[in-house]
Amino acid sequence: MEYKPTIGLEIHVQLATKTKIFCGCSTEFGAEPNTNVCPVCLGLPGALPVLNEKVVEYGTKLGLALNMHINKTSTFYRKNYFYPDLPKGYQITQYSIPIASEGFLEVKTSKSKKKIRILRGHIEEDSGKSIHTGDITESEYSYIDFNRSGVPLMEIVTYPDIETAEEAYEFLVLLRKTVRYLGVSSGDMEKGALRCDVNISVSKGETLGTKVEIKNLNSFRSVRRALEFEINRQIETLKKGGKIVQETRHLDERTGETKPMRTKEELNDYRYFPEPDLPPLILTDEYIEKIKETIPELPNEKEERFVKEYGISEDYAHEITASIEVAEYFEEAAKLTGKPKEVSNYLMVNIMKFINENGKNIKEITFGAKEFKELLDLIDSKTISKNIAKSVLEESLSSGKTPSQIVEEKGLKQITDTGEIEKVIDEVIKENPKPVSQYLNGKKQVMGFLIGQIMKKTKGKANPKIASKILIEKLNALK
Amino acid sequence: MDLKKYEKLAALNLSEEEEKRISKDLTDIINYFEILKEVNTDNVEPLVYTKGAKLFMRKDEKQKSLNKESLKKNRELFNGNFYKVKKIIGD
Ligand SMILES: [Zn+2]
Repeated sequence: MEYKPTIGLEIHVQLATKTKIFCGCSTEFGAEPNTNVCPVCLGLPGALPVLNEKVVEYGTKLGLALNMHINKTSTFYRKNYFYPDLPKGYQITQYSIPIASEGFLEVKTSKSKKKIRILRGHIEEDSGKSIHTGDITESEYSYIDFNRSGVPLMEIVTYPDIETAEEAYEFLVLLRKTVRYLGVSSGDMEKGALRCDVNISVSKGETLGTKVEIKNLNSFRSVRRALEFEINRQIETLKKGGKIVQETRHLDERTGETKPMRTKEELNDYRYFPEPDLPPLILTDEYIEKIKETIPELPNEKEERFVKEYGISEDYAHEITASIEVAEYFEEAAKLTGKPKEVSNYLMVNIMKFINENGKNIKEITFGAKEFKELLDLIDSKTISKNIAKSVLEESLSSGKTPSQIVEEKGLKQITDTGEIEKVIDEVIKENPKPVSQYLNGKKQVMGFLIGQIMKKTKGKANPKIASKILIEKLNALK
Repeated sequence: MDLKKYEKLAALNLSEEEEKRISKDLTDIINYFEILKEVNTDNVEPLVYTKGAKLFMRKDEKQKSLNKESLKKNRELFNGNFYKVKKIIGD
């Protein structure tokens, strides 16, 4: 029997509100330390929390998008522990009844489609940030920046339905897409707007193995690497007759190995109790309905629709819908040109390459749906060949000029005037007696060479279909 | 009751005499709950919040944060741009 991994994720999503969850301080990232603080988020005695309604809105929205049930009554709790960056000595969070429970996301991997169930989603406040200067173990003090203290989070906890590193990775990718589609979070892992802890065990039978937690994974790649390493480590340990220790580990980014971490809370006793400063949060059916109406088409739905409606490949649909901006760009151009396949090709091959190489955003480029139509019309009317179209597109992307402008200025118009093409062909036949006689002796492959010569003389502007038709006629006439 | 455990959770370091006193206080409090337990609450919904208390929410609008000069007045706690906190057990 094979060892089977069992993996669960705990993800903190930073909600993109302007102000903190319980006070009016700004949530701006990267502000000068301790400039966005007030008595509430510093935990000064007597200060009272007042809930930000946007946090409730975003939490509800995200819950609904993750197919969760929204609890009409949810409550706030105090989670008590001592840590320098937690000024009140407790974190205000949700506990017994969170704002959202029981949902799922359907994740696609290279092998299959799978529903990953979500246990709960609760809203809570973030802690401050300890700044370590010098030697951490030597210093008698911690230095704290409380700008992050009170920034709103939604914690998403999955069921242990995940069985591979790839599934975990794809879940996170889809979650990030979803929060971005909704506009409830930037989803930037590098900026801490999405943080992921994983729980993992391996076992052979029904009884689950000993659970190990991996904390502080700060990129999608780290999650995947940490899980790949840890699955392997646990299986190898068990195969050798060893035991898995229940512990918290972290990923060493340099080596890709997970290592045991010294934990701050050996006593895992948070003594949760209801937050007396905040009465229950009560949501009406009308409120939930109203939020539901603001949910846009979600990534998976959009992807499926693009395949069905526009007939583009599943891979392209997946990549195009990775970003809502790219998806909107595609759809606008596909509709205006009526040529979704061509649009998807140029978009994924040429435009995305330009964007990635130049560190641009799709919204920043001047080549939009209108320019797309112009370009495809130029091909359609045989004004330019597909080959030339590519260079026109590239030129348009970098210079900002329209396709017709470029064709005009550079004289790229395809030659469809048969008289002009005939003239060139006559020259080519005259200048290449050897290939011509080879052709006449039945060596058809030299056609390619002769067409190449015609293209060279016309700088690629001859219409290849017309050119080859005339060439064959002329060669046959020589027989 | 394991007083040591709660001392640790509350980050307190009690003297032997304090331990004795607090231990007695806590035992009295717990015994008081034993009396309350005798009341029949079979058909009573648990009451967590004051009845009718309503949750007020605020709009997502910025309010003035504290100015740094006022933070700096507390020299004990504030150092440079940061709050300075003594390391806590378990940290
Ligand atoms: Zn504040």
